[in-house]
Amino acid sequence: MSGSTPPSPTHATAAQPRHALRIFLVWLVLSAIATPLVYLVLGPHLPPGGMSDSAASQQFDMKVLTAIATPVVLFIWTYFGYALIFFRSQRGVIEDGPPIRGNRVFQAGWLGITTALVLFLFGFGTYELIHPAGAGAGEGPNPIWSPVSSSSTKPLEVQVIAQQWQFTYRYLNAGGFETTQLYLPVDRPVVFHVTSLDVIHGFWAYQLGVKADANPGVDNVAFTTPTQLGRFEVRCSELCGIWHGAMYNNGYVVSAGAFSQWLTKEQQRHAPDLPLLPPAAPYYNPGAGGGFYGSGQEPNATATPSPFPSSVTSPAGS
Amino acid sequence: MALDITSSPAGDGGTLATGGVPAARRTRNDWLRPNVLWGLVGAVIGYAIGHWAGNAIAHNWQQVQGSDQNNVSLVLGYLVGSVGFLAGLGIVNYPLAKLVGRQPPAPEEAQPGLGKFFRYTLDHKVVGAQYLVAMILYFMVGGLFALLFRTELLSPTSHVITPDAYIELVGMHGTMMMMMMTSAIIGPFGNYLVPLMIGSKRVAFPRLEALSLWLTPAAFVVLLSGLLIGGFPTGWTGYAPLAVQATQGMDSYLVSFGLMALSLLFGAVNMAATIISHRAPGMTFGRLPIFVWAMLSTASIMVLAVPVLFAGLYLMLMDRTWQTAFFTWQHGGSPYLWENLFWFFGHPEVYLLALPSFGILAELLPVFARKPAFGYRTVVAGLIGVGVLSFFVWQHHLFMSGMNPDMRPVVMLTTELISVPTGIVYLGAIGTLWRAKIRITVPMLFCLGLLFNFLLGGITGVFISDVPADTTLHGSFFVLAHFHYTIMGGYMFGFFAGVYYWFPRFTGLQLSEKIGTWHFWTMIVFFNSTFLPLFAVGLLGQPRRVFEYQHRLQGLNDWATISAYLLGVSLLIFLWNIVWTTAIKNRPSSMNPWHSLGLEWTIPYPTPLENFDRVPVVLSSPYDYGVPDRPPVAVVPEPVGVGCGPALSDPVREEDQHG
Amino acid sequence: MAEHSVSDGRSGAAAATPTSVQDVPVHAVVDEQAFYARAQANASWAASRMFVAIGATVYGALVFSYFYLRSLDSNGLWHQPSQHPPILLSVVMLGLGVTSSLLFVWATRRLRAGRRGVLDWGVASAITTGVLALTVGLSIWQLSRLPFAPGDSGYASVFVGTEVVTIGMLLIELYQIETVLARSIRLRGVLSPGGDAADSSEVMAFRLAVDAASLFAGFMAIVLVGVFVLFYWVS
Repeated sequence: MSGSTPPSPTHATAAQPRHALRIFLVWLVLSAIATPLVYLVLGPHLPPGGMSDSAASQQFDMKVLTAIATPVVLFIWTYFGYALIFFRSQRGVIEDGPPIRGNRVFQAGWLGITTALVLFLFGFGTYELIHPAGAGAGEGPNPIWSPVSSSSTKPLEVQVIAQQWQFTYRYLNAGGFETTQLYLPVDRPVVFHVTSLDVIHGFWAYQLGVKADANPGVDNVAFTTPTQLGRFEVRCSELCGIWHGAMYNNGYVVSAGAFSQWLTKEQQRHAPDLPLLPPAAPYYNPGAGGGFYGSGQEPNATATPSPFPSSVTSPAGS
Repeated sequence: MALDITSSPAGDGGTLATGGVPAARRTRNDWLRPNVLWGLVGAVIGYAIGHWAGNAIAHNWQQVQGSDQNNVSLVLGYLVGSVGFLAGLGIVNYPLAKLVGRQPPAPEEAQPGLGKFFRYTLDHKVVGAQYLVAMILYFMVGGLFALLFRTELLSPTSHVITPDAYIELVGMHGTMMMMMMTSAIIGPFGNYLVPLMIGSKRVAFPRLEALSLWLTPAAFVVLLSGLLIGGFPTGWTGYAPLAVQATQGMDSYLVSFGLMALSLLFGAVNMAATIISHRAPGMTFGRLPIFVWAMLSTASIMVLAVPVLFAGLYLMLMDRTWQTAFFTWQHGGSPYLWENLFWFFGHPEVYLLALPSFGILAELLPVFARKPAFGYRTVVAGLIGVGVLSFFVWQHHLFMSGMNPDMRPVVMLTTELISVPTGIVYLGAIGTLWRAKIRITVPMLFCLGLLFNFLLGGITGVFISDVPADTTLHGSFFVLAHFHYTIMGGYMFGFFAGVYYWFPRFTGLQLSEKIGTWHFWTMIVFFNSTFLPLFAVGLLGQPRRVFEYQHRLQGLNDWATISAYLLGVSLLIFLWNIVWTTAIKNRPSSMNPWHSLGLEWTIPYPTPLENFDRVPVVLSSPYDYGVPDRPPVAVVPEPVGVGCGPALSDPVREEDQHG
Repeated sequence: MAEHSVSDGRSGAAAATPTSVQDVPVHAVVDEQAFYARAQANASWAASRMFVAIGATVYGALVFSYFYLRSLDSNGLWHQPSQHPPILLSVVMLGLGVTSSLLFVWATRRLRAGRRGVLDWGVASAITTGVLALTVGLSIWQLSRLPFAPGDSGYASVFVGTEVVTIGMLLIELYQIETVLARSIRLRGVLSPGGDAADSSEVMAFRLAVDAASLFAGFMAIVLVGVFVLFYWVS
């Protein structure tokens, strides 16, 4: 037994180098270098960019998350790297390590830190969710976080109608005509009313940071305010059948003047189609009614006043 | 031969089960006794009967005549065919005999040779081995599907396969991996090892266990048969209006997932009951190996989550056959209903995949660190905490769906909270490796790979749980990469760690360390090389399950595809290792090649039919490495009146004495 | 390099650890028959409850569907007043199903308490079996002539879905009770008061099966009442 008894803990501590301090220092140096790099250098390139207020807020959100994740990942890597180098047994020798079953301080500290981190992330995420009006996510028929109506401009109401396998758009403030093009004016709040005629689709305006599932029979509302001119991609983000992959188009954020020009032109172009369409409604029932794609359906109960009945009749271009 | 997994001392078979099972009879010719071939015959006959019955019932239904597709006959064909398969295997004899109060006939037991692996058997070790082979088969088939559709993604616009073939393959791959592979650890390792680890001679319900195994090939064949009739377009999630609209291939998804749900339930009930009731004296809950705790937690989640999946699949089947309207909003149903039912199962499901691999990790680290498991109670509490919390997070799959925006902060909180018990796994690993004497072996490498991959998978999970970030990430390749990091990088690395670690227990042979090292390094390099770019692909705006994507993403996609091929090569190395070890080299390993203190290594190979000569009495935790004056893990008491017998083998202690 | 010889575990290693082997309490020197009999009893107890939990979760999913679709009232089609299954037949089925299940539970309790013999219990089980079979038949008959189509409304869907599950569950209950009844007939010599081998494994297996069946029967009685309340009262 004599030679094999593991060394007593006190003896071992004295002989061991100060592993914890070494690991801490390596981690501290790595984190101090990497975290600012991640935040300042990688951060501005994180998607979805800054094309709208919701996109910018998502980018900030991801920047913060990445910056927090960096030291966590580095700690694990540092620790395991260190352990694999210094805590090795001699090759081919079976020897036991010290019988440490636990360490109250370490365990409590670990639980405390992870819980605190999680609670912080929860608070931060909730703030970021509420602050820019639901963060561009679909909020269902009764949105609870809407943009603050501080600006005098009325928001642009666009209905996104998804079907297998394309998106069409109805401009509700402009008579409710329907088009396959998506143009948005810069610096004006946009309300997307996303619905579907058949299966579940997903309206994902990537650079705008907007994503809302298109459910049949549901008016899924999402908000954003485009802040930069340019092109953005629209893709379907829920599997909707074999041509799901081909269900995309491009949208454009243009200046207010260009938008109103485009709107007038499109309105005239689509005027003959308008009588064929069902009146604009929160969602449509393709199986019923005589419209081009069934009849419009009023929701059974809405907490907030719907834009649909009044805005359809309102003059073009607001 | 060395593959002979159970020894079969003649005359031992009679004592296998206390339920009054009479001794095994062996009279008939081997080929005439129930086996897989008869199962196939039964399946064909059953399918024909079911198909005919379905036609008789529903041939004049409006939707059948309108669509020229009779879902009723297909579903009945599948169901009766599955029963026929089980009947051909001899599984139905027992419930039928009970109907007339007969003593259930025992399946003929304990033959030497490989024949028993193609039969319904009550030996949990044979079932475990069958599970292992089956799971490797399902995994490889699912992986092949992935390689096929990754080929399609080599180019953003030009096509190798048609869009419908693409979407079928995506659905097949997802369903195979998420559904068939749910049992990948609890099936082989749980069934084989849990009785050995808790010191039991048997499992509580060997028939349920065997049934749970034999339902998986039925589910597998039914699922694959979907390819013959057009597949299903919904992916593994089967979202509602699309699934109601889909053609007959959808039925194969529903039936096979339903069969698999039953398999999971039966397996889980047996597992939980065995762990609760069959622990050897002295095997208190405080000494239970962490792997067994993980199995218990997994089985408990299964019992509570899988029935909801079963109900959801059943409702969908009713919608598609009996024309109910659960998921049709025009008729008073709702697609959200499916999303809720599915994800109420679906999120615990991913922890059904995570927990067993955590169990293997926590089980193996002490062996290769040669230290006690760090924070045993905390780690166990973490495993249970993950299980409990997993029932409160499912709505994070619905963040973009437009339902209940007011629930989002709550679900965000629960989802992020679950990272605390998950993090405990890392706490345990860190503590166990602290000042350890680490031995680098292939199982240990896979454990370290698991820790590396799961870290990235877990951290990216926090991004997805955060609603604002999720607005961009939801439904994109980022999510795909995230769960491949947790499931392929975590679960499957845990699985391979288990295969390498327990292969000597299963077969008496030790897989080649050299080939295994090659396997590990190619696998972890090409795994990361495949899925790390996919994080970027998702961040840059590519949705999941698309066959056409933005031209700017071609470089990353091609990189991922080529890495995926190489990942496939890595798995071929694994298969080669098995062939090399078993068929070519075939050199018996030592009894306890890893010098583990685990109870399962105290048994000689081949494992006796009843595992232990007598019920052992457990004296200490299996993780007492380095503890001075550690008692042996267990002793086998002499028959009553004689006193205590010798300790079970304790290689470390013996070395201590030699040294 | 240390020698890694691994013995087969039957060597004298235990001699080095006398303290702990002495610690093995005498009762732990196991009577294996009794040990596994108790283990099997515990396992059966646990598993029967797990199966009830599984059944309850399936019904939980259906009840969730009920209230979820009711709260959504999609397209105004949760339920139309005309859509009601015939109430009289339903009350009769409820009465038959619940009383027969409870009869079995009651008879089992009496058997366990030892107040009446196995014959008494057998008669009760036979009645239960017959009445349950009748209930299942009536349920199928009712389903075949409902005054509404399954897809007419949310209510209609959930009703049909739940009824089919209930028929399946009743069949499971029926199977359980029938098998223990058949077992009791076959074991009648052993089970009778003067019978020998009162503690044999056969008798124990029989008892466990009876307990499991009784538990499930009690569960089904509750379920039947709950389903009735849901579809005839609450709606």
